[in-house]
Amino acid sequence: MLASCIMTRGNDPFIDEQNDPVLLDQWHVVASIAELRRGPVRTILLGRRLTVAIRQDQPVAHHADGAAAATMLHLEYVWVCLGQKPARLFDIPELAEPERRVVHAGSFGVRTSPPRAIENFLDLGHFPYVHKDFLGLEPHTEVPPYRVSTEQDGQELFARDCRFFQPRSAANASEGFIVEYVYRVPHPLCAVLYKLNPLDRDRQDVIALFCQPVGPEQVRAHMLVSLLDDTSDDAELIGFQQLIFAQDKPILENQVPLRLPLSPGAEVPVRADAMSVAYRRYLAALGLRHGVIAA
Amino acid sequence: MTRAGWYPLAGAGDLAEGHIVDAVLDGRALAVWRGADRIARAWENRCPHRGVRLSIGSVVGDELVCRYHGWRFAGADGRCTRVPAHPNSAPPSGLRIQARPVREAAGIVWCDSGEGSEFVEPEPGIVARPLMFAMGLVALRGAMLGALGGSSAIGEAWLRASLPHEAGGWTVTLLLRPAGPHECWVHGLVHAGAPARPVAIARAQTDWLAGVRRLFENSL
Ligand code: FES
Ligand SMILES: [Fe+2]
Repeated sequence: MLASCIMTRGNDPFIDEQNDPVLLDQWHVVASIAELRRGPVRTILLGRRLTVAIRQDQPVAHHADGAAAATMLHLEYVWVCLGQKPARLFDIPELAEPERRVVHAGSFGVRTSPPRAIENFLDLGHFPYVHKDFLGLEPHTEVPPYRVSTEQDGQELFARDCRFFQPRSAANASEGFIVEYVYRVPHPLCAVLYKLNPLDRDRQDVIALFCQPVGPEQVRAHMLVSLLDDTSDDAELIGFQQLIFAQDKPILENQVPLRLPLSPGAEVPVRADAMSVAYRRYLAALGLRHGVIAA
Repeated sequence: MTRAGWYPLAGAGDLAEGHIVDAVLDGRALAVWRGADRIARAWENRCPHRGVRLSIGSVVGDELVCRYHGWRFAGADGRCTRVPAHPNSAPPSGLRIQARPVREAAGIVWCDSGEGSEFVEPEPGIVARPLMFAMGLVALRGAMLGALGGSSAIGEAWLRASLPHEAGGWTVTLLLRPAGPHECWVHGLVHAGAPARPVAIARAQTDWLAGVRRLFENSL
């Protein structure tokens, strides 16, 4: 039944979605510099095959027919824009602070739509169930109210004052405490999480998820981590993030439908889902078509 | 769509207390589960909250718990009884999972693809493991009647056939469940009396059926 309602949205919705003007004009991560150091990367962006490499410190990307695509080096990654009017690419200024480690924690293929992957990243309520013993633990299941706002002329979405009890919030955490979060969505398929340091409130751990839209139901999720942690080595940091992501993957691949429904009545939210509801509205306002079911 | 009626979803013995399996009937994805009250249920396989398949959740007592955010649904009426993110608020009212009519007979959990269909009980037998065929119900039934010598149809979705002599020669009732337009599951009852080793007979039936499937796949 769900398949049939997708099929009736235009003659060839799959091709239409790959030409979503909103995403064509955005920059998207296609590979980490860490991965490119090992050699060129063949990948797919919005249904188009690309070969990406770094030559003389410059990123290059080519289509299958040899045509070049616009590239940019930014935040440990190569970004590509396929459209004619490239959008402004956001920054994460906190990452430039001195004495900060910035680590690419992995690129994960997931069989779901890119917006479903972002929505999962913005979700607090699943911690005690999907990340039991790490990011949450029963009976500490309550999601207290938090503040949601759109900023930058509707281009960015924020959730502030998010609080949640976490038994082991990071690789270096030894006991549980209430963690404070800020979520930022500066791009329809990118999200940044700031975890306030409980001891030094001016400093924060930063975790960012950049979703590469391979197709409307296939994503490559690139995760960037910058922690104020001088006890764990990179391998431990990466291992922890990969463990957490591996717990989310089977959930994402078992959501029906895989495309994110934007109609308010399609799924039943509660107060804890204020950010998810706002994200769906934000995508609807941008006019996104790729990987969603329009309202 | 196939004619409305009762179709097998799973072997009753394969659905132990506290277990959930998934099954598709006529394009409808179902979470088939059994709670502490021993009652088998077939629910729409989708959590109304954020769409996660309920078949990857868990059973606690007589309730089904969604794996994503722990929402709980009561076996008795499918109503949401708990939203852990708001432990002190009532769950959204009117929220309830759709259940399909289910019954257990002849060692099989059955589901009515329509409403109030007449139930005909098959001759009892040893329940064999179901196998999936990449064919629609009508095509598969036709192919089986053509390929299995001495076989005969019982209604629209059942067949009577015999295992070859080397495989024991038992008579079997094959029960076809249409999953989608090009997918069918074949459940089987082997009529072998009360043998000492029913598992061996069930396995012989499965091996034979897998051979039939290979034959069909090779002829495509
Ligand atoms: S998706 Fe089932 S509880 Fe959230
Ligand atoms: Fe998660």
